[in-house]
Amino acid sequence: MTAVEEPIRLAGSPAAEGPSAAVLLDEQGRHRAQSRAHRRFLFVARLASLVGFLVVWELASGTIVRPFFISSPTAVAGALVEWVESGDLWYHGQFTLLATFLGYVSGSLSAIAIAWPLGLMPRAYRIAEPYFLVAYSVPAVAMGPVFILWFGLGLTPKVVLAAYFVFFIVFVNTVTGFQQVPRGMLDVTRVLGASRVALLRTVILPSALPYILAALRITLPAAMIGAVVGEFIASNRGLGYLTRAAAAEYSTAGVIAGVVVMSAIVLAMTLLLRPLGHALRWQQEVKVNRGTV
Amino acid sequence: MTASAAPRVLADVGHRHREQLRVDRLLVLGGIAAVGIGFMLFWQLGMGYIVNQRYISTPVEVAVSLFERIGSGDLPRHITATMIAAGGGWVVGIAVGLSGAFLLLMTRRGYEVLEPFLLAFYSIPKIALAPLFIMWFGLALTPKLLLAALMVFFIVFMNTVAGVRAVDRGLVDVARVLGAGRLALIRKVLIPAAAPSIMAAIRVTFARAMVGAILAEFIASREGLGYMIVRAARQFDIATVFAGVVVIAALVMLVNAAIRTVEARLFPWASGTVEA
Amino acid sequence: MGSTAAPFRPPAVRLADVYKAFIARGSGDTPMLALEDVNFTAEQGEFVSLVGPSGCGKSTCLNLLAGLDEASSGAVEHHGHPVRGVNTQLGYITQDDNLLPWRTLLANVELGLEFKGVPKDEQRRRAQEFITLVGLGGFERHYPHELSGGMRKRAGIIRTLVYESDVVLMDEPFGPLDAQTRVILQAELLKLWDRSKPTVLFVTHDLVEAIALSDRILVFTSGPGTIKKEYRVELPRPRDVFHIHETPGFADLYDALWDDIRTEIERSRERGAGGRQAVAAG
Repeated sequence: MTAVEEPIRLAGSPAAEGPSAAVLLDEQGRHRAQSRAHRRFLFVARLASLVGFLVVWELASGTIVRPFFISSPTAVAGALVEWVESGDLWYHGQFTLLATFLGYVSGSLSAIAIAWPLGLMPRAYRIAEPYFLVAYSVPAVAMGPVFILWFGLGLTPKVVLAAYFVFFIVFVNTVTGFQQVPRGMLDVTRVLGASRVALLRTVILPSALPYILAALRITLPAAMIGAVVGEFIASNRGLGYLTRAAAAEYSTAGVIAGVVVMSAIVLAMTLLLRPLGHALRWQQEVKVNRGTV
Repeated sequence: MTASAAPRVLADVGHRHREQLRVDRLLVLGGIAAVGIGFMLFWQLGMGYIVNQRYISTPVEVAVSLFERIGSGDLPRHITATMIAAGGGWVVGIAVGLSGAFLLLMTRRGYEVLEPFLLAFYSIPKIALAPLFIMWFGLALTPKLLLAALMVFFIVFMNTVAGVRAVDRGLVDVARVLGAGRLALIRKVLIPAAAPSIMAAIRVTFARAMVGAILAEFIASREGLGYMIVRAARQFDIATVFAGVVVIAALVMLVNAAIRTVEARLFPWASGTVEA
Repeated sequence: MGSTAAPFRPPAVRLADVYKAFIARGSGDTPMLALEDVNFTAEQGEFVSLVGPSGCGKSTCLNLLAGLDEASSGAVEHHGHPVRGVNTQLGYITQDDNLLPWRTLLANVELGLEFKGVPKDEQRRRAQEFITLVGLGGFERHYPHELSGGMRKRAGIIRTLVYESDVVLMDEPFGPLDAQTRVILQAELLKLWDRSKPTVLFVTHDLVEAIALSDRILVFTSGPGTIKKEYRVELPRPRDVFHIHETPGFADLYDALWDDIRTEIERSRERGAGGRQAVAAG
């Protein structure tokens, strides 16, 4: 007699019959109705909050609070439209996005390339560790002027800064990924006959992958922030420049518009990369070390 | 049965272990020294191939610049300015972050309804608000403090909310059955349980506060470490730029170490990791 | 030990004068003795249980045979050959199933065969055979997190048995399971064992389990561990694990074992309460 556990059968299946089925169906129905009502409530509440916020903002501007401080939804929208029509948005936006993308790719690739051997060889890691700790303590922002000095006013310093922002997070998490492989899994697989290479392929890499992916997921926005910071400090192109120019003209609407655009891009990035968190079907929750960037 | 070989075996193993530790330590220290020397050599000789020779400085020049600045009273002044902005912003950010988080958690449906907005809110690159604050408040202390506070606020807020929401349901249930009212629940269960996340957030945020303050100083300011760096950069005074970066790194490391010791003493059970 | 039989065949497994010392973490680098003067053998086809209080070094013995660790002194032999490096010739089943979460059930079971260079269709055939044998048929494409505890445990076991090594080490494999599943799996294990009768070294805390499954039981003292006593289990095979308590001879054996173990447990408790007495000569 072998007992084989089966997944629980839901009430919808034809196997369920009799009074028990009625109870189950009833419960299911009630549950569905409840969650439907709940979702409707959420939707309405959220919509109301959003609309309410915008209305209050619009009304307060010019009446309670000076427009200089908070502008108004309409003014901000106006600034945005102007940017789109003049082509400014695209012109500056693509600069920032290019710097972001290049920085992200170079930063993460170099981080993984360096972290991989260090994660596998504890002694090598211990040698490199003090240097990384020191470099880590320098807030990436502080390197901005240095990079601009070195690489001028063009695209390069922004790319380097963006890469800098990305590098440390991906590095730390990749090392963690390689170092946290469960000992038991390694032991059993070795006794099963795995060579060093096979062990890497079948156990270590898959085990480290969630950490690496998690780090890759959050660092894309960080790359953009790096690029923007570079543009704040010194640039004549980019969304950072656009925002700063608006500030120089005391155009609150422009500054807020700039912030809105950047936030929207970050939000889009976050949502776009979200599937990466579920890409590995077997994966559990992985806590990412975001450090102090 | 012959006498046990235990003492001999133990002596053997102990001896071998100490040997191995010694070799290990030697290799690591040797490696660190080798890397350090290699780096110095690269700095001295190799940097010129990547970056314009003019824009590099030797460690000696950096040290000289540091001493000059300390002597002239320049450096202490800038450090104080930045630390006040960063420190003040840090404290304000923590206070507002904690209260905001608990206020949100007090409401029954608050978090659920606002969740997508929080996500959007969190997507705002706080750094992007620097020009806004400077535009509003000019070149004084306020924009720096505010930017620092804002950066800290986000992290503390999000981590506190996440930390409290992650508290084991079981703990809460038991407390409620034992008769804990709302306030008692918060004080005796939620806060201690969420403490690790909160403490981790607080520890990490000082560096963030520094970032906020320094960034504001980069853009427009009259004093502070960021200002010092940017002004030196404009004058192509590389030594001072590097000196500034070194000082910033040193400050961050010092404060982090200080926080860690305080944390270990006050909250020995708290040592979580940040998720924000 | 092989002194009368001819031709001389070395025992499947042999530990002779084995000592093992560890550097215990947090004890300031002083070595602690885990195994002291351990001597035992197992012949081909024997099912041997190792029982004893926690921390007496039973699992360490298995690790030494698997080559995951080295003895500080003494001989560890597999079929007469000293164990050097990871011993891939035997099977090792750990307490946690340690299935690879990123592989399906089928891929997990095939893992060992893959490493040993068995052709792909042969891998599939043998894996499938064992999967069906333990009632996991139909779940080949499932991932470990989709299986229940008992199912994962079965998977962990057949993953090792599918290669049909002649020596299998099992370290409290049924430990984390509930009592009912445990008995069911014991019966299944005996069925599997019957197919090719490998030598089994089975570590357990459960005396009933030890009696039900084994031909011989080795009782370890509390740490530093050594073999206190050896028992032959004369109960007839095939064993009825569901009614083992009613088998004649069970009760006496159980009492004797329990007496031995109890003394050891008390001894190790005393040692813990009396403060740390590191058996170290420095």
